[in-house]
Amino acid sequence: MDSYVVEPQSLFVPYLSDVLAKAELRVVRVAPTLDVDDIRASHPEALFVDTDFLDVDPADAVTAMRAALPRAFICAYTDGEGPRADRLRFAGANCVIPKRYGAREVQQALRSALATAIA
Amino acid sequence: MLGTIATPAPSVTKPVRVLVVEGQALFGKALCQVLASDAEIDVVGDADSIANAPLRRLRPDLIVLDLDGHHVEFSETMRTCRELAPQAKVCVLSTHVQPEVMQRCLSAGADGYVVKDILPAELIRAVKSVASGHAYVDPRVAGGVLKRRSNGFGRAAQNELSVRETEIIRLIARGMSNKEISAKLHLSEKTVKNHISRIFAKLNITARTQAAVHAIKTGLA
Repeated sequence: MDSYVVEPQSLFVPYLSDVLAKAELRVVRVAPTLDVDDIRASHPEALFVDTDFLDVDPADAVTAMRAALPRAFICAYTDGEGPRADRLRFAGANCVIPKRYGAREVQQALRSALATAIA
Repeated sequence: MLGTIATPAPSVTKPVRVLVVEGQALFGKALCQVLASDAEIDVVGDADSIANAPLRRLRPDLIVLDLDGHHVEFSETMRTCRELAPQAKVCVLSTHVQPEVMQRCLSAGADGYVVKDILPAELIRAVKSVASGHAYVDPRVAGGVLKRRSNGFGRAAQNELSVRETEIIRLIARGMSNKEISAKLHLSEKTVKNHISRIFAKLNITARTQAAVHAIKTGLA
């Protein structure tokens, strides 16, 4: 699945891309900040966004991405859990992955969410 | 006081023992992978916080410390480092490019300040440089410090905001309520109020809007 990653920690991107590839998300484009026009133009099948470093409210960002790509699989990667994660789901994220997860847990969470989304 | 790398990092005779402290599990592993790729660096361990890092047992030469994932005051973290690993240099990793944040870290005792969009090779150079006793700060942030000083924005040390206070004033400038700030930073609302009171006292202001204006004028937001 062609994937677009929003991640300002560029040092992290190669490792993250390897992790995502093992969950069938092939990273085709990476941006350090949220650019909805670029996302729309790239029309990826999946979006993986680190919501902790955005200049806008994370839930608003997910809402904007969902509006731009109504059928895309959206995964929010965040330090927040509980109500903050619920807000992201309510805004349109298919999957919310906490940053305390290791590689295997991230891949399991993605595979599970992808299976649900496809079904 | 501030130094940036313009020449190759000094060579070190034995591998630098590095401990990675990073709250984001995946990013911590990514850092370990980058650092371990260099033969002159020995990654002796990683932990999600200083509290969970076996500093006395590992005796690192250098601690790569994530600033963004901290849920405690940075100066407290530095005190713990100094107490449990007095021999270790500390190189802070951060997404913040604001000079004020870097200044807080250096004032608290950090030896290096690296922004997370650094290239892997440059991170390795930074780590070796700090380990060999040189300071390293991201040139972009250091340039900001010099510019601010020349513009006369310097303030007395006692009036400088702490790392946590800087985080909070940035969130105030984004229009967040105390409740939202407490949720974002994993602090109680009472603690947030206390920080805000100190911010107001240090800046000699009385309203959140003044704090927001200050943050914008000084480049914090």
